[in-house]
Amino acid sequence: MLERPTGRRTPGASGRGGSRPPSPGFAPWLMSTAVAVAVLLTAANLHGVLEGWSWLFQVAVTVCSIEAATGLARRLDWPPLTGALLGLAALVMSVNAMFLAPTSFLGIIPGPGTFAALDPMLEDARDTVISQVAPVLVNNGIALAACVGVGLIALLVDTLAVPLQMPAISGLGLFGLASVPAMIKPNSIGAAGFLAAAAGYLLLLGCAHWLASDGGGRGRLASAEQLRRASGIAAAGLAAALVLPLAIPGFSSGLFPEGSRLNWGSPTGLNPVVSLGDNLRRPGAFGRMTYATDAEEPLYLRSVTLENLTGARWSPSAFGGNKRTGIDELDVPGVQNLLAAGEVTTTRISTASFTSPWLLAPYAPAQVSGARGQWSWDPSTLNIRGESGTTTANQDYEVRSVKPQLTRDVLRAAEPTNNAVVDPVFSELPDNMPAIVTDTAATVINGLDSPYEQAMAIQTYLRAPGFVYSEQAPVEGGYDQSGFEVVAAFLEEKSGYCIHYAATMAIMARIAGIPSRMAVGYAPGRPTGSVFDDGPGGDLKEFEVDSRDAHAWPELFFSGVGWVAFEPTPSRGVLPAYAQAQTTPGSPTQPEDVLRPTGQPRPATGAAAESAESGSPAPAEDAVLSRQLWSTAAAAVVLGLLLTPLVLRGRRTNRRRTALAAGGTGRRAAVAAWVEAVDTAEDLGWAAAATETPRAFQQRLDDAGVVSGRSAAALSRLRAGYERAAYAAPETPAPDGDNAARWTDVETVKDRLQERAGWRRRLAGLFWPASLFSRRPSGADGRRDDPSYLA
Amino acid sequence: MDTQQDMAEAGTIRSNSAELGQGAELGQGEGLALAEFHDACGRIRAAIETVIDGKSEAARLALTVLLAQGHLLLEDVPGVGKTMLAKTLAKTIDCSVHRIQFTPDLLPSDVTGVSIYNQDKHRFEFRPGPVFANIVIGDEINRASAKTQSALLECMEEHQVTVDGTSYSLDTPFMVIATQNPIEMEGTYPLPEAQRDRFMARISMGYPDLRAEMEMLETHQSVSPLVAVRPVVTVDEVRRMVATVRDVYVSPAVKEYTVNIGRATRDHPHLRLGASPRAMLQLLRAAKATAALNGRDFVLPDDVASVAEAVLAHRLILDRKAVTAGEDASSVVASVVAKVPVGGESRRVSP
Repeated sequence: MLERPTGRRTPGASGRGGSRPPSPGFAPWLMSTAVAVAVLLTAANLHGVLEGWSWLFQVAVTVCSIEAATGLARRLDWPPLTGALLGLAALVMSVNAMFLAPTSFLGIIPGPGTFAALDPMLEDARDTVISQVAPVLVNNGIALAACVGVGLIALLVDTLAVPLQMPAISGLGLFGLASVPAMIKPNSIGAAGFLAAAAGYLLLLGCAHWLASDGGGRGRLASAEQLRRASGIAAAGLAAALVLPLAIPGFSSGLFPEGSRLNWGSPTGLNPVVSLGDNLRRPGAFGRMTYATDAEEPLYLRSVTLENLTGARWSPSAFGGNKRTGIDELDVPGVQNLLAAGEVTTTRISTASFTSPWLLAPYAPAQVSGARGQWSWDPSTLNIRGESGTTTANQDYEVRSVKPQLTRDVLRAAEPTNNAVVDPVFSELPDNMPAIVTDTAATVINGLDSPYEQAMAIQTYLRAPGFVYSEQAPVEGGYDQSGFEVVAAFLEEKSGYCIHYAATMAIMARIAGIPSRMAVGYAPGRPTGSVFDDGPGGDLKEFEVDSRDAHAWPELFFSGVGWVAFEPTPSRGVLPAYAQAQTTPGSPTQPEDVLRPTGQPRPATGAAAESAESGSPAPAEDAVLSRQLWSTAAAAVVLGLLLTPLVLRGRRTNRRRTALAAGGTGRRAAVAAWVEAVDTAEDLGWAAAATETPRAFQQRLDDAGVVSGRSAAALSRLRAGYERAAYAAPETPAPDGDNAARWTDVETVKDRLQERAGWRRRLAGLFWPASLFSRRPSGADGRRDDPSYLA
Repeated sequence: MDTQQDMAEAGTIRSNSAELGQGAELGQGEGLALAEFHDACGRIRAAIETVIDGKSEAARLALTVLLAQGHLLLEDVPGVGKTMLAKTLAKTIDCSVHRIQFTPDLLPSDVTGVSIYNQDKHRFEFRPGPVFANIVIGDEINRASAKTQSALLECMEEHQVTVDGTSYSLDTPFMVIATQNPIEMEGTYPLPEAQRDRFMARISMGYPDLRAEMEMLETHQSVSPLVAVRPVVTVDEVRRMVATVRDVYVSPAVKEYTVNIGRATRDHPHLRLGASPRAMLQLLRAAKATAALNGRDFVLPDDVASVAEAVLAHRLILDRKAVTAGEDASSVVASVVAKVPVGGESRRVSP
């Protein structure tokens, strides 16, 4: 359609000798820059998966060196494969320079010691992934992994976009990169992240198209029609991305599938805290498992405890030094004493699909039988962990656990703990504790001496109606956390879920001097009604738990008593008798006992409890949900408005085209064809003045060199047809020329105009077609267009 | 449905055009086919160009005015070929041509003719004046007294001469080509504005360009090329050409455009007097002739715009301020044409 130079290089031929036209110097660099920008814009979404922004510099260095290498290869017209290899070399070198310089030759080339140095870093990275919650703290291992990962993606995108000439497909690489944070961040990547990635992708497409159509690039030419189609598809896809989340249950917001919303099988449990938050937010119950127990009281199943607060957040303590293997007998003196005393609970657990390296058990496990695989345990926490890949999946095992008979009096008698008694990991506090945490703790425990009273005061404070249970409310980035920053936010916000309650109580207990840890597991479930009568100590009643019962609670250490669980989370779990506040008539700060054994009808409670338990959370969640819905809808509306001109303009063109194709009268067809050409010119910045006759307009375009040769002839034919249609006597024969030829003329003129317009005006013409908004006064009704051709 | 409506609307349009048309006094014969018309015009223009070098635009306008049944005012400095153009145009047509040299002592009867007492027959006989011709060349028209001028101007408008209560019809076609000199004002009676209105168009010849002037020196040296000019069309052919022009179609959009131009001159801040309705009529006629000359049987806005300056400029009276500001009527017309929106296709195209 356009007068395009022929004999342009095909992609395969590039780089292999022969007489090639010299490619413009900037073109290779332009594509490299576009790829680098697109990848970096997308990679920026990793913020939130990785703490802070420090990693971005290293990632940027990696990506830029790769792109510089591939750009150089293109500039020198080396074969495409060489560019990719050079990029790979640049990746290795830049990573070496940044992370492994001491063991490398010249700082950039891997030496014999490099791999040895690499090992601990990879170990670091693996540990971080396993034990930390996003955003993870960036250590060298994680940064290296990020650099290599993003670098490989950049290489992929570059290879797809330039040597393979498939810039559109290269979006897959970007999509892959964006989906990592989308899966991991609880709230997906958000609108800004999505738009940044999309902008990067569009930039890439735009550059590729511009180079292709301008002759700067090499290879296949994308016609304007293709661009239009591509933008149409992109617009439709964008609209679908905005609308679909509204229609699919399980999305609460966002433009990208959210990590916490994807039910990809059972939780891996690699990271207890992330699993927990995700489990609770899952729209439906899943991961059902059952346990049968002869315990009289509702039973908490504990998976793991988090006690290490050194990393500014809770994590399991290193499972190294005092690891013991074999779980037939967990011979801790206290436990064994109780076992001997006969205070034994037997629990048979059937984990089904629940997968975790930590074995579920009621506290305190004394004997475990029937669990397949290798297990080891830590005497200080009684966490049981699978060795060499052993997990809990599909295990049926029996746990005999003991439980000391705890009463208020026993606990009240406990002295403040001497720090030497327990491992310092249980009482460590970071130095830079936020003021709100220490202040609140000080206020709550003010005047109370006994550890038990302090603990009760903290629990009572958290169970008070001022705090609202919500799994959704404060799920801003990184709120699925238990570190003290999040605790501070929680105390501010007074809204959160079990992790926040448990972490807050544990931290405040440590401030009060009570050693504490956070337990993660399952709250007591619902009875299934089945009873097994073959238990050693009597009938075993069966219960079921699922993802909705995932729970966290604090365990506090009382000297002479041991670890004692508390329940600061309102409306979840069961408050043990020793942890129930004594109802004293004159103390309004203590709420009534709002707990109920699960599975039983809830007794009528006071208004305060009502609001604490069920009244407030629902509206809060609703508010959040509706806010997200509204913002998504508003975004959709805004986008819709932005795309409306494009759609309307496209419809107008289509209408004219179909009118021509349908074989309207020659007169109408001629008018439609001319008006379409004039409108296109106006969209692209050559507006016909209202005072300009068609001839004058055509002359102007001709003089300015906007049209020439074939396009000038086509425009002239269109103009002549229009003049005859518009001004000749009605009984004269209709203008000559068949409609197909006419539309071909229109296309010829359009292509030429678009070629001349430059990308900025083309883009403006696409999204803000001026012809839609101009109304040239003419004729009695002020319309210049046949109404049937007006949208 | 479409066709029916088209036809119905076409009917009204045709009657409109009849109203706008030149009326009954003009030739009613069949018009020439466009091809013949074009051919005849080509012959006339070629003949003119053998005499007048490099002034094809002026020649075209003169021909336009002839075919539009209007009168032409040639205004320019002496010696640029005004009279030559008038005479050449007259000579290319096989018709009667009279020339009147206007002087201050010229009387109306010297133009229209007089009734003389015939002693043999004992009655007054009308002796037609020079105005009884197909083409009348009025040289230096502004030298005649206002009385004589007005006698001619009445003929121009009415196409008849009334002497002693008897009206005598003038021939068809009838065209006055008057020349006047804008520089030499001594002893002249400038045409009043109202009377200038009767001329369809005013043309300034302008100086020829270098090449044309050199060629002119060559061709005009020994013998005037005017002598060699032979008529290339007959009067009858001219009548039929006029009929062809009359049949040129004017769409409502173009009429509206024309009227809008006229109205814009009336509202123009620089003008004391705008274009009259008669001016509009003549503008449209001139546009029709232009369209026909360009081989079209319908008028485009471009046709109107192209003759607007020639047809309108001499009728407009500028504001004194505009004159001191250096404006002239031509620039005002140009600015008006540049400001009037062009009508699109008319509504009859709609279903």
